[in-house]
Amino acid sequence: MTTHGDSGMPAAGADRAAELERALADVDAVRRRVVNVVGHVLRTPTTTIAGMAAALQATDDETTRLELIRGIARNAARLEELLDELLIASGVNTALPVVDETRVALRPAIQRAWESVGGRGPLDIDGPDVDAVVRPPALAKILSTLLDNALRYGHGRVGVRLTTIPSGVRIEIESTNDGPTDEELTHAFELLYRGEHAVMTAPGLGLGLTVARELARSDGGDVRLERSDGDIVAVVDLPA
Amino acid sequence: MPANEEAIRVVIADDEPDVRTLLRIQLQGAGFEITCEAADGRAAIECCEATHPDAMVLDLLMPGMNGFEAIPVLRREHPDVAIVAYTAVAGEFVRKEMARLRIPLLLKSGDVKPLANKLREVAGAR
Repeated sequence: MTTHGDSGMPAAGADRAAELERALADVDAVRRRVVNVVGHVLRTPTTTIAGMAAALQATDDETTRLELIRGIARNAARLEELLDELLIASGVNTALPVVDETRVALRPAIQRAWESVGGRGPLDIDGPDVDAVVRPPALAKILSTLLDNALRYGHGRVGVRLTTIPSGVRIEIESTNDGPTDEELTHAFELLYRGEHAVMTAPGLGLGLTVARELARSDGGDVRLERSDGDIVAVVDLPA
Repeated sequence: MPANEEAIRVVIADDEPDVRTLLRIQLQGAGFEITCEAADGRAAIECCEATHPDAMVLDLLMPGMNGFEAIPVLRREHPDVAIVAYTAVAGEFVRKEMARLRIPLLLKSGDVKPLANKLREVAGAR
């Protein structure tokens, strides 16, 4: 009988044990990510709502009360959005936008998404004016997620290139970002995964890329990340 | 706070605008003076240069210069400013690092009393 090393364990049994160990390590990694989500990202809007509700009861000043009510509404909306993102990223298609696919001009859609995430001035968009056939809310979410990532985690210029490809159109969002390691990039689309560079740079959920890919795939497209010199390029393929 | 007691002057550094708003309202209600608000570590340092506060509420995870990066600069350039780290989550690394730096660490909460008490403690101990 073939055995494994000095353990005397049959090789098949040793392989099975190693496989089990890997599976348990994966489960533990997901558990830690869930703890991070519940403890961190959901904690901020939750405690903010609790604090603002308490402060609301303690003040008679109308301006302050209005400021607090608006804050509560914003954070409640943020919680709602987070719940939808968690469902979409988990592959639960009941949370996907319920609208028909439409022909959308990409250049203005990209500029709108840029402005929605706080990008200043006109964005540098190279390439032809092209359309994609997608659900507009899904496209807006994909673009805002990737542009927000470029702003939050990159440093310096953000550029966009549009091209046509046999299956439709390609959007490449390029940002200077030498932070993430190759290992971190390979895990970037995993549910709730956040690399050390991301954790140390900004708060977040580890959901954005997973949601963006789920949405693109549900419209017949895809999203991936590539490294180009010191840049990270988010590549979005969409049907046209 | 007694009427003749001078208010403790505080900088709030947090990238979440609603967290800053809430802390400003809560801490002002508790008798503190908020001298400046900052959305990242660099702005927090500039706040200290401009307003010379007694203490700072410092979020650790912020885009741009984060709290971890701001602490050594604050210690060097503004050693009189007492820092309270205020974070939504504190794993083992964060707890150990803040203990090593002797910086009190509080978890974000809707209840401002623990933060107010800690600010009075650290500002009073300077």
